[in-house]
Order: sequence, then structure tokens, then C-alpha cells
Amino acid sequence: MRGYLLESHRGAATVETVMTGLEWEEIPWGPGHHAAARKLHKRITGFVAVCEDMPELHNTVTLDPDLKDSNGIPAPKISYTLSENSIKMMDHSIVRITEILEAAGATQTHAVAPIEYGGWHWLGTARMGTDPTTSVVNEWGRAHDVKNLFIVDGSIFVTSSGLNPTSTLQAMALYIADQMKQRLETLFD
Amino acid sequence: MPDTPLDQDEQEILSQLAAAIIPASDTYAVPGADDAQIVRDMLGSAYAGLAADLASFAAFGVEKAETFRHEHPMTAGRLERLVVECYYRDDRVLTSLGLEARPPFPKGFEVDQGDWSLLDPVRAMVPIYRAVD
Ligand SMILES: Cc1cc2nc3c(=O)[nH]c(=O)nc-3n(C[C@H](O)[C@H](O)[C@H](O)COP(=O)(O)OP(=O)(O)OC[C@H]3O[C@@H](n4cnc5c(N)ncnc54)[C@H](O)[C@@H]3O)c2cc1C
Repeated sequence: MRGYLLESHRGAATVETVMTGLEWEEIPWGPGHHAAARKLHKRITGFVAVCEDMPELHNTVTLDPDLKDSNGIPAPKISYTLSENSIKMMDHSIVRITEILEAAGATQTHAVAPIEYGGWHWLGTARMGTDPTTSVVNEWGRAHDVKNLFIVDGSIFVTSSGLNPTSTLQAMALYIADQMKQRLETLFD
Repeated sequence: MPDTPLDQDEQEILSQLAAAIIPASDTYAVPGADDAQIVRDMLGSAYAGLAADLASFAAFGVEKAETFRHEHPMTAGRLERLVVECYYRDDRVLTSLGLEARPPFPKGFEVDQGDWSLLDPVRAMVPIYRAVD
């Protein structure tokens, strides 16, 4: 269900090449380092699949009962489990990416899913919608429950979007600001 | 970060670790990562928690470097990044890799042109997006 975006990357520069080689154990520690690093240098590239994670009730952000910051404000507690759908999407993307890389002449491929380091797009904790029982803000960004509260950030997404979200997020900010301007007379009614 | 974030013993461990990861090579005529200049660069780039990471390595020692690497991948990863970042910005190392020992900015680099006609089928495609009003 749904889909993902494939993002091709430019070839890695030197430090990134060596770090990647070490992580994948293509480059050993010790005397073999130099030959192995030179074998990969200017010869690695990669793809990323940005998958559309669906809204799932088992994923939550709640207040941590114990952990607090220096002002006594509870830390967010994130519970997240990959769904079967997302795992299938990742598996599918790996097969497609491998095909693309091999067609382009790759002699060796590695896959990491999900990524350990890098961009995780945390979105959708205050989703937008017309129904107050299933969403937090209405279709122009105002909280259903608190009439003078607007939420203008990635939390109003309804899925993780399967794309890099920032441009859409900025467009949403412009849209909501415009809506506020147009509704000034009745904004908090 | 203080001027010298590591005491003498810790600096010695850092040198040992650096050589364990990237030793000098006669074949490629390059210094090891324990070269004095490169170690100085590492000291200047030390991260908070480096001393604790080095202590974790020292508990294994150089002979068991591989065991340390596999049993403490996160710690080893942080140490590797420090060593690799500083090693691969050393002028001697960059030159030996056939790179110009300078940052890309401001002179830039010539990029080899690929076969742009590969994109012709993409350009010929009908738009897959909705036009804005
Ligand atoms: C490693 C990484 C790489 C990414 N790469 C990309 C990419 O290439 N392209 C892309 O489109 N997206 C990318 N994303 C996703 C994108 O960065 C986020 O989705 C986006 O920045 C979210 O914007 P936001 O305004 O919702 O929240 P944020 O940008 O997180 O802004 C929230 C702000 O609130 C502040 N804040 C928190 N608590 C308080 C408080 N109590 N009081 C006052 N201020 C507070 C925070 O300091 C922060 O500045 C990446 C994300 C990560 C983590």
C-alpha cells in the first residue's frame, strides 16, 4: 500500500567513502586499510528510499513518566514499531534499487533498512482532518479543542508522506497563515 | 573544549588506536594516522566523551582491537570518525589519492560530464505532476 520515493545520491567523497567501507567491513582496521580504501574511493554511490509510513495507533508520542528536563518538563517518550506494510515497502525498494545499481554496473551492493543514522521524518502527531475524533487540527490548522491554538509544523501531516517533507511543510505554513488572515474576523469562533 | 582535551596517557592511547585503524604504508607512501601532525588535528577536533571512548578501547588494548571493534560498534564508530576525518584531510594523504589538497570552495572542481542523452526519455515523458493554478 502507498509508495516511496527513490533518491539517487552523488558519489561519496573521501571521508564518507571510508566511513561507509568501515561500517560494511569492506575496509579493515590495520595494514589492509589503504588498499581497501583505494578500491572503493570514487567508486561508491547510493540510493535512499523514503517510504510512506502510515498512521498506526501503535506508534505514539507520550509524556515520559520519569525522564524530565532541568525545568521539570517531562521528556517525550516515543514508541515506534515498523509495521508490516512499511517493512514490505522497504524490502520492495531494496530489490528495485539493487536492480538499478546493477544495471548501472555495480559490482557489489549493500542494503541498510531502516537506516541507523540520517534523516528520520517524524511527522503526524497532531494530524489535520475535519473529524475531531480522529484529528487534532482542522483543515486550516486550528486545533479542534482549543480555538486560539494553531499548529503549523510537521505534526499536522496525516502520513509520513513518503517524500522529503520540508517544502510541503513550508507550503502548509503559508497556507495556514493565509487562512488566518482571511478569517481574522471569526478566527477564534 | 580545553586546549588539550586529553592527558598524556590518553594521547598515547589515541595514537595507538589511530595506528591500529590506519597504519603507515610504504606501498602508498603515506603516514599512519598516528602521525604527530594528524594526532594534533584530532586533539583539536576532540568530541565530548572522547576520553571515555578511549578508556573503553584501552581496556581491550591494541592486540584485541578487532574484538573491541565488534563488541562496541557505536564507540568504535565514533572513534573511527574522528580518526578518518582528520586522516583524510591531511595534505599528504589527499595528494597520494590523486586529489588536490584544498577544499572545494572557492575554486570549485571540474565535473566530468556524463551522457546527458540518457535523460531524453525522461524529458519526453508527459508530466506526472498536476500543474499549479
Ligand atoms: C537527520 C534528518 C535529515 C532530514 N533531511 C531532510 C531533507 O533532506 N529534506 C527534507 O525535506 N526533510 C528532511 N528532514 C525532515 C525535516 O527536517 C523535518 O521534518 C522538519 O524540519 C520538521 O519541521 P518542524 O517545523 O515540524 O519541526 P522542527 O524543525 O523540529 O522545529 C521544532 C522547533 O521547536 C523547537 N522547540 C522544541 N521544544 C521547544 C520548547 N519547549 N520551546 C520552544 N521551542 C521549542 C525546537 O528547538 C525546533 O527548533 C530530515 C530530518 C532529520 C532528522
